[in-house]
Amino acid sequence: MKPQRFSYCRPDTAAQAVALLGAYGDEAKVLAGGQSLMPLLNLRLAGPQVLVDVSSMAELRGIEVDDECVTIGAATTHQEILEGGSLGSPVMALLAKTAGFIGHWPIRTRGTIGGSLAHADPAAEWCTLALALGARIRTSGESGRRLVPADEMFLGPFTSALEDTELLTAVEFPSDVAGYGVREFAMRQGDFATVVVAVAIRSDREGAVAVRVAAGGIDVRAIRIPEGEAVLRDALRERPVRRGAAVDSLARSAGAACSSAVRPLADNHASSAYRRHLVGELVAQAAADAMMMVGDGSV
Amino acid sequence: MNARDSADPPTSVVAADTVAEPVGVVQAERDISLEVNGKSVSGEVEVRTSLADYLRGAGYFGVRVGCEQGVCGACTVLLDGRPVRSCLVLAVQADRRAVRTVEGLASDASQSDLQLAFSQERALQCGFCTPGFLMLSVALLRDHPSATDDDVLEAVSSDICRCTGYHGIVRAICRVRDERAAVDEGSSARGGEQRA
Repeated sequence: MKPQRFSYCRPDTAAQAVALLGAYGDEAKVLAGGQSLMPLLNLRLAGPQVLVDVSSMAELRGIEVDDECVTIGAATTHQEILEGGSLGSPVMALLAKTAGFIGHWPIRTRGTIGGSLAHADPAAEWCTLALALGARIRTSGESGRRLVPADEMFLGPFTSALEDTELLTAVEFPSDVAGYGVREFAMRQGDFATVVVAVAIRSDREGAVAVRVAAGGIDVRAIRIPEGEAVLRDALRERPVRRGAAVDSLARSAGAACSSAVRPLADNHASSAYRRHLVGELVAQAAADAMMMVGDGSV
Repeated sequence: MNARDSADPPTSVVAADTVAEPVGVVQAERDISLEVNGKSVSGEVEVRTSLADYLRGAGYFGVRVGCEQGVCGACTVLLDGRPVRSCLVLAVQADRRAVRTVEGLASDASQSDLQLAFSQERALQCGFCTPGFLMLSVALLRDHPSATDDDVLEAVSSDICRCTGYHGIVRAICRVRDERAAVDEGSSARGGEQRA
Protein backbone atom coordinates (compact mmCIF):
# COMPACT_ATOMS: atom_id res chain seq x y z
CA MET A 1 0.00 0.00 0.00
CA LYS A 2 0.95 3.64 -0.35
CA PRO A 3 0.79 6.30 2.35
CA GLN A 4 -2.05 8.79 2.29
CA ARG A 5 -1.14 12.31 1.21
CA PHE A 6 0.92 14.39 3.56
CA SER A 7 3.17 17.43 3.45
CA TYR A 8 6.86 17.33 4.17
CA CYS A 9 9.51 19.62 5.52
CA ARG A 10 13.17 19.26 6.34
CA PRO A 11 14.18 21.93 8.86
CA ASP A 12 17.88 22.65 9.30
CA THR A 13 17.89 23.03 13.08
CA ALA A 14 16.18 21.56 16.13
CA ALA A 15 14.74 25.02 16.93
CA GLN A 16 13.07 25.10 13.52
CA ALA A 17 11.74 21.57 13.99
CA VAL A 18 10.29 22.51 17.38
CA ALA A 19 8.61 25.59 15.85
CA LEU A 20 7.04 23.40 13.16
CA LEU A 21 5.86 20.86 15.73
CA GLY A 22 4.38 23.73 17.72
CA ALA A 23 2.56 25.02 14.64
CA TYR A 24 1.06 21.69 13.61
CA GLY A 25 0.68 19.94 16.97
CA ASP A 26 -0.62 16.39 16.75
CA GLU A 27 -1.10 16.71 12.97
CA ALA A 28 2.69 16.53 12.61
CA LYS A 29 4.96 13.57 13.09
CA VAL A 30 8.75 13.57 13.35
CA LEU A 31 10.44 11.42 10.70
CA ALA A 32 13.84 10.12 11.76
CA GLY A 33 15.17 6.91 10.15
CA GLY A 34 11.69 5.87 9.07
CA GLN A 35 12.18 2.17 9.79
CA SER A 36 9.08 2.08 12.02
CA LEU A 37 7.16 5.15 10.84
CA MET A 38 7.35 4.43 7.09
CA PRO A 39 5.77 0.95 7.42
CA LEU A 40 3.00 2.53 9.56
CA LEU A 41 2.44 5.15 6.85
CA ASN A 42 2.55 2.59 4.02
CA LEU A 43 0.02 0.41 5.85
CA ARG A 44 -2.06 3.54 6.62
CA LEU A 45 -1.95 2.75 10.31
CA ALA A 46 -0.72 6.32 10.76
CA GLY A 47 -1.85 9.35 8.76
CA PRO A 48 -0.09 12.53 9.85
CA GLN A 49 -0.73 15.70 7.82
CA VAL A 50 2.87 16.86 8.05
CA LEU A 51 6.17 15.00 8.32
CA VAL A 52 9.07 16.88 9.92
CA ASP A 53 12.20 15.13 8.64
CA VAL A 54 15.13 15.34 11.07
CA SER A 55 17.08 12.39 9.66
CA SER A 56 19.86 14.48 8.15
CA MET A 57 19.91 17.30 10.72
CA ALA A 58 23.58 17.85 11.61
CA GLU A 59 23.01 18.90 15.24
CA LEU A 60 21.13 15.65 15.97
CA ARG A 61 23.88 13.40 14.68
CA GLY A 62 27.05 12.03 16.22
CA ILE A 63 28.55 10.38 19.29
CA GLU A 64 30.36 12.24 22.06
CA VAL A 65 32.35 10.39 24.70
CA ASP A 66 33.54 12.19 27.84
CA ASP A 67 34.36 11.14 31.42
CA GLU A 68 30.77 11.40 32.60
CA CYS A 69 28.74 9.90 29.80
CA VAL A 70 28.34 8.86 26.22
CA THR A 71 25.98 11.28 24.48
CA ILE A 72 24.40 10.12 21.23
CA GLY A 73 22.51 12.46 18.91
CA ALA A 74 18.94 11.36 18.24
CA ALA A 75 19.42 10.95 14.49
CA THR A 76 22.54 8.77 14.86
CA THR A 77 21.91 5.42 13.17
CA HIS A 78 22.17 1.99 14.77
CA GLN A 79 24.93 1.16 12.28
CA GLU A 80 26.94 4.25 13.27
CA ILE A 81 26.69 3.17 16.92
CA LEU A 82 27.69 -0.38 15.98
CA GLU A 83 30.76 1.00 14.22
CA GLY A 84 31.47 3.34 17.17
CA GLY A 85 32.42 0.36 19.36
CA SER A 86 36.06 1.08 18.58
CA LEU A 87 35.96 4.48 20.33
CA GLY A 88 37.51 2.87 23.39
CA SER A 89 34.84 3.68 25.96
CA PRO A 90 33.51 0.59 27.78
CA VAL A 91 29.94 1.92 27.67
CA MET A 92 30.38 2.52 23.95
CA ALA A 93 31.36 -1.13 23.57
CA LEU A 94 28.09 -2.09 25.26
CA LEU A 95 26.13 0.27 23.00
CA ALA A 96 27.81 -1.22 19.93
CA LYS A 97 26.99 -4.75 21.06
CA THR A 98 23.38 -3.74 21.63
CA ALA A 99 23.14 -2.11 18.19
CA GLY A 100 24.19 -5.43 16.68
CA PHE A 101 20.99 -7.03 17.95
CA ILE A 102 18.84 -4.57 16.02
CA GLY A 103 17.35 -5.60 12.69
CA HIS A 104 19.45 -6.24 9.62
CA TRP A 105 22.19 -4.13 8.05
CA PRO A 106 19.87 -2.24 5.61
CA ILE A 107 17.59 -1.43 8.56
CA ARG A 108 20.48 -0.35 10.81
CA THR A 109 21.82 2.02 8.14
CA ARG A 110 18.62 4.10 8.40
CA GLY A 111 17.07 3.40 11.81
CA THR A 112 18.06 5.84 14.58
CA ILE A 113 18.46 5.61 18.35
CA GLY A 114 16.24 8.66 18.93
CA GLY A 115 13.53 7.27 16.69
CA SER A 116 13.61 4.00 18.58
CA LEU A 117 13.40 5.69 22.01
CA ALA A 118 10.56 7.97 20.87
CA HIS A 119 8.69 5.06 19.26
CA ALA A 120 8.88 3.21 22.61
CA ASP A 121 8.38 -0.28 21.23
CA PRO A 122 7.97 -2.62 24.23
CA ALA A 123 10.59 -4.98 22.74
CA ALA A 124 13.11 -2.30 21.74
CA GLU A 125 16.74 -2.85 22.67
CA TRP A 126 17.46 0.87 23.22
CA CYS A 127 14.54 1.33 25.63
CA THR A 128 15.72 -1.67 27.66
CA LEU A 129 19.32 -0.49 27.72
CA ALA A 130 18.32 3.09 28.59
CA LEU A 131 16.50 1.76 31.68
CA ALA A 132 19.39 -0.49 32.72
CA LEU A 133 22.01 2.25 32.42
CA GLY A 134 19.80 4.99 33.89
CA ALA A 135 20.07 7.03 30.71
CA ARG A 136 18.76 10.58 30.40
CA ILE A 137 16.80 11.65 27.35
CA ARG A 138 17.27 15.21 26.10
CA THR A 139 14.22 16.87 24.61
CA SER A 140 13.53 20.26 23.15
CA GLY A 141 10.09 21.83 23.11
CA GLU A 142 8.28 25.15 22.89
CA SER A 143 8.53 25.60 26.65
CA GLY A 144 12.23 24.76 26.74
CA ARG A 145 14.50 21.82 27.18
CA ARG A 146 14.01 18.80 29.41
CA LEU A 147 16.24 15.99 30.61
CA VAL A 148 13.93 13.01 31.08
CA PRO A 149 15.22 10.07 33.14
CA ALA A 150 14.68 6.77 31.32
CA ASP A 151 12.63 5.60 34.31
CA GLU A 152 10.02 8.25 33.43
CA MET A 153 10.20 7.93 29.64
CA PHE A 154 8.32 4.78 28.67
CA LEU A 155 4.65 4.87 29.61
CA GLY A 156 3.04 2.11 27.58
CA PRO A 157 3.04 0.41 24.19
CA PHE A 158 4.45 2.94 21.69
CA THR A 159 3.78 5.69 24.22
CA SER A 160 6.52 7.84 25.70
CA ALA A 161 6.68 10.92 27.92
CA LEU A 162 7.41 13.07 24.85
CA GLU A 163 4.82 15.78 24.20
CA ASP A 164 3.40 16.12 20.66
CA THR A 165 5.36 19.32 20.23
CA GLU A 166 8.62 18.02 21.72
CA LEU A 167 11.63 16.79 19.81
CA LEU A 168 13.94 14.11 21.22
CA THR A 169 17.41 15.53 20.54
CA ALA A 170 19.89 13.18 22.24
CA VAL A 171 20.38 10.50 24.87
CA GLU A 172 23.03 10.45 27.59
CA PHE A 173 24.30 7.11 28.88
CA PRO A 174 26.27 7.55 32.15
CA SER A 175 29.73 5.94 32.02
CA ASP A 176 30.07 5.25 35.78
CA VAL A 177 29.17 1.57 35.53
CA ALA A 178 31.52 -1.08 36.90
CA GLY A 179 30.01 -3.97 35.01
CA TYR A 180 27.22 -4.66 32.60
CA GLY A 181 25.70 -7.28 30.34
CA VAL A 182 23.11 -7.35 27.59
CA ARG A 183 21.55 -10.54 26.25
CA GLU A 184 18.81 -11.17 23.73
CA PHE A 185 16.85 -14.08 22.37
CA ALA A 186 15.18 -13.83 18.95
CA MET A 187 14.10 -16.66 16.67
CA ARG A 188 16.32 -15.35 13.86
CA GLN A 189 19.05 -12.72 13.66
CA GLY A 190 17.35 -9.41 12.94
CA ASP A 191 13.95 -10.32 14.33
CA PHE A 192 12.35 -8.33 17.12
CA ALA A 193 13.55 -9.58 20.49
CA THR A 194 11.42 -12.32 22.03
CA VAL A 195 13.09 -11.15 25.23
CA VAL A 196 16.00 -8.74 25.71
CA VAL A 197 17.57 -8.03 29.11
CA ALA A 198 20.30 -5.71 30.37
CA VAL A 199 22.07 -5.61 33.73
CA ALA A 200 24.26 -2.78 35.05
CA ILE A 201 26.27 -2.67 38.28
CA ARG A 202 27.58 0.55 39.82
CA SER A 203 29.75 0.85 42.89
CA ASP A 204 31.47 3.79 44.56
CA ARG A 205 34.57 3.98 46.78
CA GLU A 206 32.50 3.78 49.96
CA GLY A 207 31.27 0.38 48.85
CA ALA A 208 27.73 1.43 47.98
CA VAL A 209 26.40 -0.78 45.20
CA ALA A 210 23.56 0.02 42.82
CA VAL A 211 22.16 -2.52 40.40
CA ARG A 212 19.69 -2.12 37.56
CA VAL A 213 18.01 -4.97 35.71
CA ALA A 214 15.77 -4.19 32.74
CA ALA A 215 13.84 -6.31 30.25
CA GLY A 216 12.02 -5.75 26.96
CA GLY A 217 9.56 -7.93 25.09
CA ILE A 218 7.63 -9.07 28.17
CA ASP A 219 5.31 -6.19 29.08
CA VAL A 220 3.52 -3.23 27.51
CA ARG A 221 6.79 -1.32 27.82
CA ALA A 222 10.41 -1.98 28.68
CA ILE A 223 10.50 -2.48 32.47
CA ARG A 224 12.92 -2.79 35.37
CA ILE A 225 12.76 -5.90 37.55
CA PRO A 226 13.33 -4.70 41.16
CA GLU A 227 13.24 -8.25 42.58
CA GLY A 228 16.31 -9.23 40.55
CA GLU A 229 18.04 -5.95 41.34
CA ALA A 230 17.57 -6.57 45.08
CA VAL A 231 19.11 -10.05 44.94
CA LEU A 232 22.23 -8.78 43.19
CA ARG A 233 22.52 -5.56 45.21
CA ASP A 234 22.21 -7.23 48.62
CA ALA A 235 24.75 -9.92 47.76
CA LEU A 236 27.21 -7.52 46.13
CA ARG A 237 27.06 -5.11 49.09
CA GLU A 238 28.43 -7.89 51.27
CA ARG A 239 31.07 -8.93 48.78
CA PRO A 240 31.42 -6.63 45.74
CA VAL A 241 33.84 -8.73 43.73
CA ARG A 242 33.00 -12.31 42.87
CA ARG A 243 34.80 -14.84 40.77
CA GLY A 244 34.30 -18.35 39.39
CA ALA A 245 31.48 -20.43 40.84
CA ALA A 246 30.35 -17.54 43.09
CA VAL A 247 29.46 -15.57 39.96
CA ASP A 248 27.38 -18.40 38.54
CA SER A 249 25.42 -19.14 41.69
CA LEU A 250 24.54 -15.48 42.31
CA ALA A 251 23.69 -14.97 38.63
CA ARG A 252 21.36 -18.00 38.80
CA SER A 253 19.64 -16.62 41.92
CA ALA A 254 19.10 -13.26 40.23
CA GLY A 255 17.70 -14.98 37.13
CA ALA A 256 15.36 -17.08 39.25
CA ALA A 257 14.16 -14.02 41.18
CA CYS A 258 13.40 -12.18 37.93
CA SER A 259 11.74 -15.19 36.37
CA SER A 260 9.33 -15.63 39.27
CA ALA A 261 8.65 -11.87 39.51
CA VAL A 262 7.58 -11.21 35.91
CA ARG A 263 4.24 -12.02 34.28
CA PRO A 264 5.14 -11.78 30.58
CA LEU A 265 2.55 -11.14 27.89
CA ALA A 266 2.02 -13.93 25.36
CA ASP A 267 1.77 -13.51 21.59
CA ASN A 268 2.05 -15.64 18.43
CA HIS A 269 5.81 -15.90 18.88
CA ALA A 270 6.08 -17.10 22.48
CA SER A 271 3.92 -18.07 25.43
CA SER A 272 4.09 -16.29 28.76
CA ALA A 273 5.77 -19.33 30.36
CA TYR A 274 8.42 -19.47 27.62
CA ARG A 275 9.21 -15.78 27.99
CA ARG A 276 9.42 -16.19 31.78
CA HIS A 277 11.94 -18.99 31.26
CA LEU A 278 13.91 -16.77 28.87
CA VAL A 279 13.96 -13.92 31.40
CA GLY A 280 15.54 -16.26 33.97
CA GLU A 281 18.18 -17.55 31.56
CA LEU A 282 19.05 -14.21 29.99
CA VAL A 283 19.23 -12.32 33.31
CA ALA A 284 21.54 -15.03 34.66
CA GLN A 285 23.80 -14.67 31.62
CA ALA A 286 23.79 -10.86 31.63
CA ALA A 287 24.35 -10.71 35.41
CA ALA A 288 27.30 -13.11 35.06
CA ASP A 289 28.76 -10.92 32.29
CA ALA A 290 28.38 -7.87 34.53
CA MET A 291 29.94 -9.50 37.61
CA MET A 292 32.89 -10.85 35.63
CA MET A 293 33.59 -7.32 34.37
CA VAL A 294 33.57 -6.04 37.95
CA GLY A 295 35.90 -8.93 38.88
CA ASP A 296 38.28 -8.14 36.02
CA GLY A 297 38.23 -4.46 36.83
CA SER A 298 37.91 -4.04 33.08
CA VAL A 299 35.80 -0.87 33.35
CA MET B 1 -10.39 5.66 0.08
CA ASN B 2 -9.78 7.31 3.37
CA ALA B 3 -11.78 10.49 3.89
CA ARG B 4 -8.61 12.38 4.89
CA ASP B 5 -7.18 11.49 1.52
CA SER B 6 -9.24 14.05 -0.35
CA ALA B 7 -8.36 16.92 1.99
CA ASP B 8 -5.37 18.88 0.78
CA PRO B 9 -2.49 18.66 3.23
CA PRO B 10 -1.11 21.98 4.35
CA THR B 11 1.36 23.79 2.13
CA SER B 12 2.83 26.85 3.73
CA VAL B 13 5.84 28.58 5.15
CA VAL B 14 5.77 28.74 8.92
CA ALA B 15 7.44 31.58 10.76
CA ALA B 16 8.02 31.21 14.46
CA ASP B 17 8.75 33.85 17.07
CA THR B 18 11.73 31.94 18.39
CA VAL B 19 13.69 32.09 15.14
CA ALA B 20 14.39 34.95 12.82
CA GLU B 21 13.83 33.14 9.55
CA PRO B 22 11.03 30.97 8.19
CA VAL B 23 11.60 27.60 9.76
CA GLY B 24 11.12 25.37 6.79
CA VAL B 25 9.03 25.07 3.71
CA VAL B 26 6.17 22.63 4.11
CA GLN B 27 5.38 21.10 0.74
CA ALA B 28 3.15 18.43 -0.77
CA GLU B 29 5.28 18.34 -3.93
CA ARG B 30 8.97 18.97 -4.18
CA ASP B 31 11.62 19.22 -6.89
CA ILE B 32 14.36 16.67 -6.42
CA SER B 33 17.52 15.78 -8.23
CA LEU B 34 19.49 12.63 -7.59
CA GLU B 35 22.18 10.59 -9.23
CA VAL B 36 21.14 7.09 -10.24
CA ASN B 37 23.94 4.81 -11.43
CA GLY B 38 25.99 7.89 -12.28
CA LYS B 39 23.23 9.62 -14.28
CA SER B 40 21.32 12.65 -13.08
CA VAL B 41 17.59 12.12 -12.59
CA SER B 42 15.37 15.00 -11.56
CA GLY B 43 11.79 16.16 -11.47
CA GLU B 44 8.89 17.08 -9.24
CA VAL B 45 7.54 14.39 -6.92
CA GLU B 46 4.62 14.10 -4.58
CA VAL B 47 6.41 13.98 -1.23
CA ARG B 48 4.69 10.73 -0.20
CA THR B 49 6.39 8.87 -3.08
CA SER B 50 8.80 6.21 -1.86
CA LEU B 51 12.27 6.03 -3.38
CA ALA B 52 11.32 2.56 -4.70
CA ASP B 53 8.27 3.87 -6.57
CA TYR B 54 10.20 6.90 -7.80
CA LEU B 55 12.98 4.73 -9.24
CA ARG B 56 10.49 2.42 -10.95
CA GLY B 57 8.70 5.47 -12.35
CA ALA B 58 12.05 6.62 -13.75
CA GLY B 59 12.46 3.28 -15.54
CA TYR B 60 14.59 1.41 -13.01
CA PHE B 61 12.35 -1.66 -12.95
CA GLY B 62 15.06 -3.75 -11.28
CA VAL B 63 13.89 -2.15 -8.04
CA ARG B 64 11.23 -4.61 -6.90
CA VAL B 65 8.39 -3.60 -4.65
CA GLY B 66 7.42 -6.54 -2.47
CA CYS B 67 6.11 -6.00 1.04
CA GLU B 68 6.37 -2.18 1.26
CA GLN B 69 7.10 -2.49 4.97
CA GLY B 70 10.82 -3.17 5.04
CA VAL B 71 10.66 -6.90 5.61
CA CYS B 72 11.36 -8.60 2.26
CA GLY B 73 14.39 -6.67 1.00
CA ALA B 74 13.43 -6.92 -2.70
CA CYS B 75 13.68 -3.11 -3.02
CA THR B 76 17.22 -2.93 -1.55
CA VAL B 77 19.37 -0.31 -3.30
CA LEU B 78 22.54 1.52 -2.30
CA LEU B 79 22.00 5.10 -1.06
CA ASP B 80 25.35 6.89 -0.87
CA GLY B 81 26.88 3.42 -0.94
CA ARG B 82 24.90 2.00 1.95
CA PRO B 83 22.22 -0.67 1.53
CA VAL B 84 18.72 0.62 2.33
CA ARG B 85 15.13 -0.49 1.91
CA SER B 86 13.98 1.92 -0.79
CA CYS B 87 10.34 1.34 0.23
CA LEU B 88 11.14 2.94 3.61
CA VAL B 89 12.96 5.96 2.19
CA LEU B 90 11.01 8.84 0.67
CA ALA B 91 12.19 9.98 -2.75
CA VAL B 92 12.60 13.49 -1.29
CA GLN B 93 15.06 12.07 1.25
CA ALA B 94 17.28 10.92 -1.63
CA ASP B 95 17.47 14.45 -3.01
CA ARG B 96 21.08 15.33 -3.95
CA ARG B 97 22.25 11.83 -3.07
CA ALA B 98 23.67 8.97 -5.12
CA VAL B 99 21.64 5.82 -5.68
CA ARG B 100 22.88 2.58 -7.17
CA THR B 101 20.46 -0.01 -8.50
CA VAL B 102 20.90 -3.42 -10.14
CA GLU B 103 20.87 -1.69 -13.55
CA GLY B 104 24.22 -0.17 -12.60
CA LEU B 105 26.01 -3.48 -12.09
CA ALA B 106 26.61 -4.74 -15.63
CA SER B 107 29.04 -2.85 -17.83
CA ASP B 108 29.07 -2.88 -21.65
CA ALA B 109 26.56 -5.72 -21.78
CA SER B 110 28.75 -7.98 -19.69
CA GLN B 111 27.46 -9.15 -16.34
CA SER B 112 29.24 -8.32 -13.11
CA ASP B 113 30.97 -11.19 -11.32
CA LEU B 114 28.13 -11.39 -8.80
CA GLN B 115 25.45 -11.53 -11.52
CA LEU B 116 27.39 -14.27 -13.33
CA ALA B 117 27.85 -16.26 -10.13
CA PHE B 118 24.14 -15.94 -9.28
CA SER B 119 23.21 -17.45 -12.66
CA GLN B 120 25.86 -20.17 -12.56
CA GLU B 121 25.15 -21.22 -8.98
CA ARG B 122 21.38 -21.28 -9.60
CA ALA B 123 20.87 -18.57 -7.03
CA LEU B 124 17.54 -17.60 -8.55
CA GLN B 125 14.40 -19.17 -9.89
CA CYS B 126 11.68 -16.57 -10.39
CA GLY B 127 14.17 -13.72 -10.01
CA PHE B 128 11.87 -11.31 -8.22
CA CYS B 129 14.10 -10.97 -5.16
CA THR B 130 17.40 -11.16 -7.07
CA PRO B 131 18.11 -7.43 -7.53
CA GLY B 132 17.77 -6.90 -3.77
CA PHE B 133 20.12 -9.79 -3.01
CA LEU B 134 22.61 -8.53 -5.60
CA MET B 135 22.73 -4.99 -4.18
CA LEU B 136 23.10 -6.34 -0.65
CA SER B 137 25.93 -8.61 -1.86
CA VAL B 138 27.70 -5.76 -3.64
CA ALA B 139 27.83 -3.79 -0.37
CA LEU B 140 28.69 -6.84 1.73
CA LEU B 141 31.72 -7.89 -0.32
CA ARG B 142 32.89 -4.28 -0.67
CA ASP B 143 32.83 -3.67 3.11
CA HIS B 144 33.71 -7.23 4.17
CA PRO B 145 35.80 -8.83 1.41
CA SER B 146 36.73 -11.71 3.71
CA ALA B 147 33.26 -12.32 5.16
CA THR B 148 32.92 -15.87 6.47
CA ASP B 149 30.25 -18.23 5.15
CA ASP B 150 28.31 -17.53 8.35
CA ASP B 151 28.62 -13.76 7.83
CA VAL B 152 27.21 -14.21 4.33
CA LEU B 153 24.36 -16.38 5.61
CA GLU B 154 23.52 -13.82 8.28
CA ALA B 155 23.63 -10.94 5.81
CA VAL B 156 21.29 -12.60 3.29
CA SER B 157 18.84 -13.48 6.06
CA SER B 158 17.89 -9.80 5.72
CA ASP B 159 16.15 -10.54 2.38
CA ILE B 160 13.38 -13.00 1.58
CA CYS B 161 13.65 -15.55 -1.25
CA ARG B 162 10.79 -18.02 -1.43
CA CYS B 163 12.19 -20.14 -4.32
CA THR B 164 15.77 -21.20 -3.76
CA GLY B 165 16.26 -22.03 -0.10
CA TYR B 166 19.22 -19.62 -0.04
CA HIS B 167 21.93 -22.26 -0.62
CA GLY B 168 22.55 -21.14 -4.19
CA ILE B 169 22.62 -17.49 -3.14
CA VAL B 170 25.17 -18.14 -0.39
CA ARG B 171 27.27 -20.30 -2.78
CA ALA B 172 27.26 -17.54 -5.39
CA ILE B 173 28.37 -14.81 -2.97
CA CYS B 174 31.06 -17.02 -1.39
CA ARG B 175 32.31 -17.97 -4.86
CA VAL B 176 32.77 -14.33 -5.82
CA ARG B 177 34.46 -13.63 -2.48
CA ASP B 178 36.92 -16.47 -3.18
CA GLU B 179 37.47 -15.50 -6.81
CA ARG B 180 38.22 -11.89 -5.87
CA ALA B 181 40.59 -13.04 -3.11
CA ALA B 182 42.43 -15.27 -5.60
CA VAL B 183 42.75 -12.40 -8.08
CA ASP B 184 44.03 -10.10 -5.32
CA GLU B 185 46.56 -12.72 -4.26
CA GLY B 186 47.67 -13.22 -7.86
CA SER B 187 48.07 -9.51 -8.49
CA SER B 188 49.97 -8.88 -5.25
CA ALA B 189 52.27 -11.81 -6.09
CA ARG B 190 52.90 -10.33 -9.53
CA GLY B 191 53.37 -6.91 -7.95
CA GLY B 192 55.97 -8.49 -5.66
CA GLU B 193 57.87 -9.93 -8.64
CA GLN B 194 57.84 -6.59 -10.39
CA ARG B 195 59.17 -4.87 -7.31
CA ALA B 196 61.85 -7.57 -7.01
